[in-house]
Amino acid sequence: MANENPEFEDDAAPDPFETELVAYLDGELDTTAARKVEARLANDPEARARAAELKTSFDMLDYLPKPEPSPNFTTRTLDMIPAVKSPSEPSGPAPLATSSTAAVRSTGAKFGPTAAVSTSMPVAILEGEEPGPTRRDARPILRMAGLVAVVAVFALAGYFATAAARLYLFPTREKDGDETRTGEPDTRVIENLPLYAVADDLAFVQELAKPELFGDEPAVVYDVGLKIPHGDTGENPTGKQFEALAKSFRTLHPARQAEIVKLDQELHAKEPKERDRLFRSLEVYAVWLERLADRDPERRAAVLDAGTSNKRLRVILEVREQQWTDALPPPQRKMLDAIAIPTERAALRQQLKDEEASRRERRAFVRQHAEAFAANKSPWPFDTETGRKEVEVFAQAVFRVDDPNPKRCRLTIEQLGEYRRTHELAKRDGVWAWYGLTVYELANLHPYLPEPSDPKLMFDGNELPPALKKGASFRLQRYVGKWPEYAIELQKELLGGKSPFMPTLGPVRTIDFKEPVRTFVTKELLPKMTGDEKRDLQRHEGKWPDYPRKLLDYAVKYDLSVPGVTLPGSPKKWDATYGIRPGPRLGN
Amino acid sequence: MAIGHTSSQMALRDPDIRLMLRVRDDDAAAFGELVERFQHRLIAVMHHLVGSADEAEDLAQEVFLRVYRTRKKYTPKAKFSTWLFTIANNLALNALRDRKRRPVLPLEVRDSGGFSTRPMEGLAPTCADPPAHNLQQQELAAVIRTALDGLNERQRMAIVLNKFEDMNYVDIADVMGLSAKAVKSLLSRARSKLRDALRGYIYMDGEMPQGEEDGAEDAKQ
Repeated sequence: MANENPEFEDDAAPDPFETELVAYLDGELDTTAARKVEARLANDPEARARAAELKTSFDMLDYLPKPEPSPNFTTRTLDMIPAVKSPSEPSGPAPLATSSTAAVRSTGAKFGPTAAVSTSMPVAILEGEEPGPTRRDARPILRMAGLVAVVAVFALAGYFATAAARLYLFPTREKDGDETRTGEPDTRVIENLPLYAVADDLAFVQELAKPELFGDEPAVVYDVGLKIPHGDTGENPTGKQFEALAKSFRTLHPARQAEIVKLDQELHAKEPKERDRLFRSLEVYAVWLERLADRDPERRAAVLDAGTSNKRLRVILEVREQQWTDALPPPQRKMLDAIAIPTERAALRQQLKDEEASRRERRAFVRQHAEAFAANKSPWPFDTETGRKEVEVFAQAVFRVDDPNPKRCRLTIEQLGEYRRTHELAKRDGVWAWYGLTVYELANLHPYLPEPSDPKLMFDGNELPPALKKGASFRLQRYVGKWPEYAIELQKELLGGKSPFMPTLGPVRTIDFKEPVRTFVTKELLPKMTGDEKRDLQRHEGKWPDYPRKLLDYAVKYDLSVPGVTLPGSPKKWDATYGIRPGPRLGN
Repeated sequence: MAIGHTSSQMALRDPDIRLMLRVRDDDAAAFGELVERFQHRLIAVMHHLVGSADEAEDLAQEVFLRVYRTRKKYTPKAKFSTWLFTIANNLALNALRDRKRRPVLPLEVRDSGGFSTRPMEGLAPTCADPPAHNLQQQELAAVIRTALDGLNERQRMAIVLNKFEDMNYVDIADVMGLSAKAVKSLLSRARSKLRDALRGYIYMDGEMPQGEEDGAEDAKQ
C-alpha cells in the first residue's frame, strides 16, 4: 500500500535537521536519534529557537474554531441510505425494546431519531391511557414539574397499591439478599421516573444545575432557604400513577433502565444539600421542557432528538439563550440587535447576564443577612477590628490591588472597581457585608497558590529564561506580571505540546514555600493529617501546581486558613456566611 | 495496514470494529451509532482540510455513505478509524483537486470581513482581559486558516491527522498510502511552511530569536 507519491514533492527538499527536529517534537524518533537532536539542542541556540518556533506554530492550530456537526447530521445521513430504515421506525435491536411497535412509534414522534441510535433519553409512552391527578402541591412550580412531566411523558392508567406494585415489579431483587437493593430504591426510581426520564446521566444533571442553564432559576437558588428537601413532602405518585410509571419503566430497554437506576443511585449518593439542588434543577428543566411543547414544539423536539448528552445540552443552552434574549427589556434588546459581529454580541450578552446574576446574588445575600442588616451589625469576620485588618491585608497581598505596577494586579478592571467601591463603602459607612462578599467572591475567582521562598522560582513572565520565553506563545502575554496565573498557563502550554522543555514552575516541597506558609504546614497542617494523607501529599512532591493545590485541599479539609494564601479565618465559616450558591460558580 | 492480530482478536478488543461488523451484518441501528460516534472527528478533520463547514459535512456524509456501500467488503485488519480516514483521505483529496481545477467561492473564514490583513498589535495585555479578546482570536483564526491553506493538500492532510486526530506517522502513512519515511518528510515540509507563514505571530512582543546566547540551562531544568 505504501508508495512514494511524487505529486506532493512540490517544495524544496527538506532540511535534514529540520526533518529530525519535527519528528523529535512529534515523539517519533528512536532513542539514538532523539539523543542526537537533544545534543544539538543543548549546544545550539539557533536550533532551540527553531524548535520553539516549530512547536509554537503547530500549537497555534489550536486556535482554529472547533467545528461541530449540525444537529440533524445523523438524520440527514441516514436518510440518504435507502436500506436503513428511518430511525423513528427502528428495526433490529434498538435500545427501546418496547412491548409494541405502536408504543415505539409514538416515542419516535416525541423523541425522534436518536431512539434508534442511542440509549440516552427515550422513554416509551403507553398509548390510550388517560392522565390522572397527582398530589403534588407543596412547591407550586416544582409540583407542576412533576405533574406536567407525568402527564406528558407517561399517560396513566390502573390504580394499584404501591406496595403491591413494588412486589410485582421487583420480586427477585429482594430475594437476592443484596441489602443495597431492597424494594426501597426501586420504588424511588419509579417515583422519580418523570424526572429521570428526561435526563441522560448524572453529568447531564450536573450540567443542568449550572447557572448557565437552570442553576440560576429562582426555584433552584432561593428554595435552598425554604429547606424542603426533595422527596420529603409526601407527594409521591401512588396507586394508578405509580403503576403507570412502573409499567413505563418496564418497557424500557434494559440498558436505559440501568442508566436510570444508576442516575438514581448517584443522585442519592450526593450530600443532601447538593442532591436537593440537582433535583430542583432537574424539576425546573422538566417543567421548562413541557412548557416548550406548547410554545416551541420544534425546539423541544430538537432537545429530545439530540443524539448525545452533550449535544442535548448544547441545544438546551441555545434555546435558553434565545429565550433570555427574547425576555430582555426593549432598550437592551435593541442594543444587542444593533451589534452585527457575533463575538461582540456574545460579549455584551455575557455582560448583561453577569449583571443580572450579580443583582440576583446580592438580593439573595440581603435576604440571608436580613436580620444583621436591620441591626446594623457587621458580619463575621468584620465584627472585630482585627478581622477587618486581616481581610484588607489579605486582599492587598493576594489580589495585588495596590500594586504600583498595574500589570501585577490579578483582578480585571471591573473587579478592581467593585473591590474599591465596596471597600470605600465599608470604611465610610461601616457596611462590611458587601466588602466581605466581594472579597469572598474574588478569592474564589482567583485562587492563589503559596509563593516560593526563592523569588527566582516565581514565574510571572517578566524574568523568564529566554529559551522559555520564546517557547511560550503570545497567548500568555495577557498573563505577564501575574502570579500564579502566568506560571499555570505556561505549564498548560508546555504540557499541551510535546515540548522538550519542562521546568518546574513553582514550589514543589514544603521547604520551597515562603514563610509563614512553611511554618504553617509543618506546625499546623501536617500534625493534623493522617499517615495516609501525608503519604498522599508526599506523592505530589516535585509536581507543580499539584503539590501546593493538594496542600490547600488538605487545609480546607481541616478548616484551616493558609496564611497569605487563602481567606483569613475558617474556610467553612466563610462559605457559611458568604456562600450563596452552593453549585459551581461562573468564572470571569 | 499490517497489524499482526487475527480479525477475531481485533474485533474482541476494539468496540469500533465490533460496531462496524454489526454494520457489515446489516444491523440497521449500528450504522446510526457509527455515524453518531464518528461524525465529530470526521467533520472536524474535513473542516480543517477544506475550510468550509458545509463542504465538510457534505464530504463527511459521502464518507459515511461509502462506508455503508462497501460494508460487505470490510474486514477488520487495523484500527477502524484508520480505515475510515483512508476513505476520508481519498474523498477529500479528490474534492480538493476538483476545487483546484475550478476555483469557486473563497473559504468562509476568509470572507468574514478581511480581518486577516489587520496587524495584531491589539493583543497587548492589560490588567483586565481586553473585551475584544474574542475578536482577536477570530482574527488569529483567520491568519492560521490562511497559513493552513498555504500548504498543499497532502501536507494539509498529514498535518490535520497529526494534530487533530493525534495520529502517529505510521497511521498517517496507512491512511495516506505512503511510507512512514515519506510521511516524515511530508510533515517536515508542512511544519516548516506553517512556521514560515505564522512567524510574524509567534513572537508577539516583537523579539526574534536571533542572537540568543543563553537560556540552555534554564530550558533544561
